[in-house]
Amino acid sequence: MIMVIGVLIFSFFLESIVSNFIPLDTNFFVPLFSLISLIIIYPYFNGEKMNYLKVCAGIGLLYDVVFTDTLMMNLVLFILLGLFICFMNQLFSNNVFSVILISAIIIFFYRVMGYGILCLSGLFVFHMERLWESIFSSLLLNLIYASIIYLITDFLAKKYHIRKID
Amino acid sequence: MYRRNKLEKKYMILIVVVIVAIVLGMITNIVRTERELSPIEKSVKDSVLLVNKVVYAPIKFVKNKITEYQEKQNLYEKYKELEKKVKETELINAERLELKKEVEDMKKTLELNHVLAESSYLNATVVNRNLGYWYNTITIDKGEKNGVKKDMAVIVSEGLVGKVIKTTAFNSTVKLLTSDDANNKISVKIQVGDQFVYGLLSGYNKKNRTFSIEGISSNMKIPKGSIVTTTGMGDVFPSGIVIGKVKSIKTDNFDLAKTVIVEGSVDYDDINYVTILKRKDEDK
Repeated sequence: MIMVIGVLIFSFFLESIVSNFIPLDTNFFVPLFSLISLIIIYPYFNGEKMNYLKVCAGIGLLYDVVFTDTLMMNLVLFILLGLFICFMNQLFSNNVFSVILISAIIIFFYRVMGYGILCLSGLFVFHMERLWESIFSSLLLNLIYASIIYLITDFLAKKYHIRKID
Repeated sequence: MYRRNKLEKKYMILIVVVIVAIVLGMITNIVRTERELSPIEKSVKDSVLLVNKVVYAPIKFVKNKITEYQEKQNLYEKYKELEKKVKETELINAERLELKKEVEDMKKTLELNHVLAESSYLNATVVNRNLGYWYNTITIDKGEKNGVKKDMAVIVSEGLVGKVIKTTAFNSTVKLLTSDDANNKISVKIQVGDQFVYGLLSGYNKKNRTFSIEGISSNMKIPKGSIVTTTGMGDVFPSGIVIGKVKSIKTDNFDLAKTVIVEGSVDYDDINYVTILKRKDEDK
C-alpha cells in the first residue's frame, strides 16, 4: 500500500511542478502523470478492483478540485479509464512494454473523451486537428515517465518482496 | 424466461443511458457556468497547493539561482542601461502627473468605467500552468485574503495576460487570453494616428501565435504595427492595456468583412510572475 500511496502522491505533485517548466503551447511535453500513476499502481491491488476504482475516483476528484476546477469531469473520466485499465491488464502481462502500450491507449481515450465532453457541452468547437495535437503532445513525456516509474516500482517491489500481479 | 431477460436488458440499457445523460448534463453545467467554488473545494485546493508550494520551494530556489547566474553574465551592460533609465524617471514622473490629471478630465467627458491609472497592482507567482490542457488557465498564489476578486485583469509588463475566473482564500485561477473558449471575446481598439478603430478580439491561432480582431467598426486604413489595446468597455479590463501589434489585415472576397491579425506582445509560453490589477476603490 505504501508503494501505491507513494506513486500517487509523487506523480500528483510532480505533474504540478513539471508544468512550471514546460511552455504553455508545447507540442511534446504535456504532463499527465496522475493518469499514468493509475496504470502503474493497478498490479499492486492484486485483483481488488473495487478498491482500485475507489482510488481512481479519489484521484479524479482531487484532480478536479485542485487543478481544473471542473468538479465531476475527471472523477467520471478516471473511473471509466480505471475500468479500462482493469480490462487491459487482463489482456496483457505486466511488463514495461505493456505499460507503455496501455499508457498510450489510455492517453488517447482520455483526450478523446475529455474533448468530446467539452465540445458536447458547447464550450469548444470541434476541430480534429486540435484533438490530434492534444494526443500527440501528451505522448512523449508521459510514455517516458511511465517506463521510468514502472522500472523503479518494479525494482522496489522485487527488492522488498511486495506482492503484485505479473 | 427469454422475454423477461430481454426486458431486463432493455431496462438496463435505459438506466445506463439516463445515468450517462444526467452525468453529462451535470458536467456540462459545471464546465459552462462560471460557478463559485464551494468552501470545501476552496479549502482542499488551498491545502494541496500549500503542500505543492512547499515541495516546489527548493526546486524553485535552484531555478532562480540558475536564472540569477545567467542574468549576472551581462550585469555591467544592464547597469549602464538602468543608469540611463533612472535619469529619465524624473521626467516621466512629471509627465505621469500631468497625464493623470488629463485622464481624470477625459474620464468625466467619455464616461469611462475604469481606466488603467485607477488600478493598484498586486504581484503574484504562478503555481502551476494549464494542467487541464483545454482550458488555458494558470494558478497563482494570491487569493481572496489578498483582495483578489473574480474578473480582475491580470497583466505582465508586456501586456494583458487574462482575467481571474476563480478564487480561493490563498490562490486564484486565471483564464488566459489564448483560451479556445467560445465565450472568450474582449473589446479592443487599434490606434491609428490620433484616432481609434474598435473591434472584438476573438480567437487565438496557436500555430502562428496570433489573435484575430473581428467586427471592425471603420473603413479606415490600418497600418501594420499599430498598437492594439483594451477599450475599458465591459467593466472587466481597464482601458489601455496593451495586447499586441497589428501583423496583417485580411478581407473577405467582397471586401466587406475585415479581420485584423494581431501579434501578441506577451510570451504566453513562459509566464512565471504576473500582476493583478486591483481597483483602487476596492482597496479601501
